[in-house]
Amino acid sequence: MNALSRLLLSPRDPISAVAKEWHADTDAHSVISWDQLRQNVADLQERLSDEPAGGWVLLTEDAYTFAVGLLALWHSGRHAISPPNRQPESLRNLRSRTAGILCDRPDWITEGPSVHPMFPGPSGVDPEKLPQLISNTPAIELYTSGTTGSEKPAMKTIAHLEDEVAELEALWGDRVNGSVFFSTASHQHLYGLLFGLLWPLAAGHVFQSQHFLHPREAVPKMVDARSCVLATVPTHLQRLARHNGTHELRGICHLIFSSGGPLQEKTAHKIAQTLEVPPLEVLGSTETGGIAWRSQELGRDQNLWTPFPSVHVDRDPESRGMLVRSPFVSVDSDNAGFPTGDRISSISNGSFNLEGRLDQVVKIGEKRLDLSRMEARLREHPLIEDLALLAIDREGTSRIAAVIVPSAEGWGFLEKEGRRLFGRTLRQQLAEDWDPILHPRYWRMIHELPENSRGKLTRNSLSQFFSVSGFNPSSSDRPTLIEEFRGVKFLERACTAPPDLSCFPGHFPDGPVVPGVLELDWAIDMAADILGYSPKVESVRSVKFTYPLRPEDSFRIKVTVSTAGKLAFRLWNKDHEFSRGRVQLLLEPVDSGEIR
Amino acid sequence: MSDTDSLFLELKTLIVETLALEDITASEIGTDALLFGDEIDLDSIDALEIAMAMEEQYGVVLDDDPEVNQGIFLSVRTLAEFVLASRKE
Repeated sequence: MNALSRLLLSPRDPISAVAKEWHADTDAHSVISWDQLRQNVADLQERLSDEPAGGWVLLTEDAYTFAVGLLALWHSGRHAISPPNRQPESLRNLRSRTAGILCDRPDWITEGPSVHPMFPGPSGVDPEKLPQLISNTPAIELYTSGTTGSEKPAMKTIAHLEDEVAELEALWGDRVNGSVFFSTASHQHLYGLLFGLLWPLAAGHVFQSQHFLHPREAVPKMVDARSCVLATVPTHLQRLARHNGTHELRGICHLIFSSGGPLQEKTAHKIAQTLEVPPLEVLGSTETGGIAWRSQELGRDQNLWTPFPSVHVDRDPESRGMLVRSPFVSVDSDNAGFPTGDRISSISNGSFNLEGRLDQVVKIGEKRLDLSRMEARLREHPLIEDLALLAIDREGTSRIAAVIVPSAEGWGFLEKEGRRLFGRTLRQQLAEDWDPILHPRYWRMIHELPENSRGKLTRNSLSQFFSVSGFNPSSSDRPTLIEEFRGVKFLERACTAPPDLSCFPGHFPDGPVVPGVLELDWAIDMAADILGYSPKVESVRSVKFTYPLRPEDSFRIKVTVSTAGKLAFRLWNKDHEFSRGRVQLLLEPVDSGEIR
Repeated sequence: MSDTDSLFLELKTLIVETLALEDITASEIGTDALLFGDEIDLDSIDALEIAMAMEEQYGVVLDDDPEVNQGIFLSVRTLAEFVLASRKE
């Protein structure tokens, strides 16, 4: 184990492996050696020393290039800025503080200063001559996830990072020897940076440079590695638990870390069963670094969290909020410790139970509701696989809304008994503990909860389910939404046609039908939902109305929008196809056109 | 459709639209169904919003006495009777 500040000076076999790189074109791996890493860093730091000093945006697709950029910035007396995401808007906000940009995907950077090459070629610098780094200097500016709102920066010093990496190796080093580290969590954020990159790099373990997010891609490469460790997030782990090739990892994947949000008990048990390795959940935040860990084991009522050896956890007697003191905390806080916003209980021998977020308490009428407590109760219900609750505004009053992922039994129930009875069944379950005004009034049934690229659920992404069709009371010409399935470029909804349209009176009094133009409108509305703004229609290419849709008919509608603005839609149910067509949209340019 | 019938439908529509109810349409609400009962299952916040919407639409003023209100908020029929009675005054 080497401290990060002396990393490049550590005596290692020059041909020992540092990282594995996978090449899509040949479907083969190449291995990056210790020698190559040191030379790449020496070459880049030499070039950087002629460039502006200060913070450099470091944004990479591959973990290995990130490692090269990070070490080169440090060795040239600069620090890295890891932007919250790669949207032009985020980079624009950083611009006044950015000395330059390092990026292995120049096509991601559409404006601002030009991208400095990451592999500028031989510089003639001998890596042996690189000096030791000073631990107490700024290393990287990271951004919090913004679960509760806007993203905030947190500056880590080299000391923060090396202390935490040393702790991880001390805790689990003996279980990861000889394993390749795979991570589905991005190295641009603290958890992925530590568990997927800096820990293996400092401790001499090999890491996989690419992040394979889907089990279909990841499992074969993990099997190929023969022995591996996985750092992942709850959604990806849930996907792994459902994947039918996961059993191949038994005896191969020796340790699984999950962080970034609560891991469902069901998922933890399923993974423990399939792989014979219970996942280790890590609790932490960008501000505090790692705080505690636990594994949810079968047949245990309570799975307490154990703080990392150098972390002190206290409880604020008033708010019952957690207070953290540790060498990893990188933001100022008073002597009591950093308030994480988590509510905790039953501290015994330092271990504790996590009870939910402090900020998940909302007020409805005059009553307070802890959303996470109600979520936990509903999650136990056999009709529910997963869910999230939120408070939404209805003309100035807050009401509770639920976004539900039904279980197989739940979908069956919905089909047979309908939404109304589904909602009522769940409300009955809640009646024992909560006043009816706190019960969810609005429901959405979906296949997967929307999460951002870091596997975090954000309240913003939930409120969108209640802002489009089916909620706005004035839009009576909209279909009622029953369930929704969402991809990056498509949206599929199951709906019922409105029972009475403002355009019905007078038309076809004996057998009202939904006008075709309205079906087209719905498709364009859904395109707006996919894009995040209302696009202009350039031309309607071809639309066929093959069967009349009647009020209250159940149907599905699927809309896809290509990057070139081609909209395709189809409206159908099990008996008929009602319409299909193609429309050319005029998309707004991705950036504001401010190119230098 | 008689005046009373159209008032029933108006009130049902007002309830569905004010509360953005999703799983029931105006025509599905029974005129005598209990508003706080099974079918519609309103709560005190809903009642307040309906009261406000009715004030706006019909110019009626609801009493502050919860016991009086309870009688008015039994069903769509009792709401309609209240509106009609207020018109006569």
